Amino acid sequence: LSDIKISILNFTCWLLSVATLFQSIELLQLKKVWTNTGIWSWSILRQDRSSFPNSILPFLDTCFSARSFTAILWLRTLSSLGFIIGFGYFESLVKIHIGILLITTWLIAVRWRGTFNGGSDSMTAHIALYVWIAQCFSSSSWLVRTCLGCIAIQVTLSYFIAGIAKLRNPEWRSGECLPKLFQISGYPEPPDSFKKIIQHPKYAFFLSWMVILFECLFPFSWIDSRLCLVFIGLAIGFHGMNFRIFGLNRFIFAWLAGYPSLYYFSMSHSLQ
Amino acid sequence: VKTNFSPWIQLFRVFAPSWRFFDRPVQVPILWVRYIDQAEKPGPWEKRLLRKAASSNRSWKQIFLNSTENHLLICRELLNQHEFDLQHGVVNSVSSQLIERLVLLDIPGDSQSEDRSGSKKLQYKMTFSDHDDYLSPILDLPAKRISD
Repeated sequence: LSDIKISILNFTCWLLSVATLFQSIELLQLKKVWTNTGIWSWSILRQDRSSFPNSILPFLDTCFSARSFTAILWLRTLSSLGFIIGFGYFESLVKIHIGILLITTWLIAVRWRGTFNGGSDSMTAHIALYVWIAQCFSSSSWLVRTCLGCIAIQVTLSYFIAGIAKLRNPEWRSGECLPKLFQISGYPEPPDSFKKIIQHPKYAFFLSWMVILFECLFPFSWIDSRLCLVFIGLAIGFHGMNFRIFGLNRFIFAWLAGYPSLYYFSMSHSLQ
Repeated sequence: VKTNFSPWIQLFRVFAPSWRFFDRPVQVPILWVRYIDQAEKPGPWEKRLLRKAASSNRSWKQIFLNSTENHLLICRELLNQHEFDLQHGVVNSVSSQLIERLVLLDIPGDSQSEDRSGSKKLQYKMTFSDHDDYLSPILDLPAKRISD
């Protein structure tokens, strides 16, 4: 199990790097909107931080100038790419790489008033933090296990708490919430074919309960490795649908990086 | 984004778990813009940040890179933040300044159909489902679009 644990940790690093690679390229593609002449100019955003001590603001000003922020994103991109194509074989580089991912993820979030993309940024930051601690103390078996456990718990709760919140909402239970979500929320409009399906109350009811059951039952993925794979498959399908319907692509890769830890615990439970 | 937390807490907000996805639909205000020509005659109100615009041609390739839609999402979150600031009497908030820039700029993925070379000024409004609309002051269009 100890070897598997390290393999799981390294695979998590690899998947995390895939997620951060795409996230970083997306932000580089949006450079026009965050430079000084764009919407999200740091000269405006920094007003939110004006109450910070003088020691911190100059640091943030330096990091978030257009040139520095571009450099930060390129560093994150190249570090992720390097790890994906094989630099992960060098143990000392792994710690530096994950450290870069952790710090740059945090800086990007600060730059965008907390997060750029809500839950996916949060999940990326959590996984980067636990993986970095685990990599720094990889000789400590219990600490690595604890870090993987934190990731697995985070992934499980992300579904379970969302499921319980839906279960407590009468509109979700009756199937009325789903069409409303498509009509009035800030998410992009779903494809026309899906809108037609969801407008039918029976289908909306059925789909709502599919989502509620999947999310509420997700903790059962810990019981058995085969069951875990089923839940991971369902989760990937769930995120795939969220992408197809709402365009939420970042969630797929951020959550994907959390599944190996979950699988490790389901497997270790089975082996015991 | 909607929060009254201290900036210090916001600084580390990304490490706070975010779990309650899609538990209830949050109604996003609608952003409208109208252009005012040289004779001070306002044109019709036009919706901005259209939800349909970016999603109509979504392909599976965007599963990897979907920067346009992700940016539109954060722009719509900005509308919610501005609504929150207005309800709490925050004057000249960061959100209001960002929205001013947002209406003055071309947003990737948002439809910008007509040539506005004849317009010198612009006004925007935000409409809400459960309270009065917000009407902005009249803003001067820059001689050259900021994004150019």
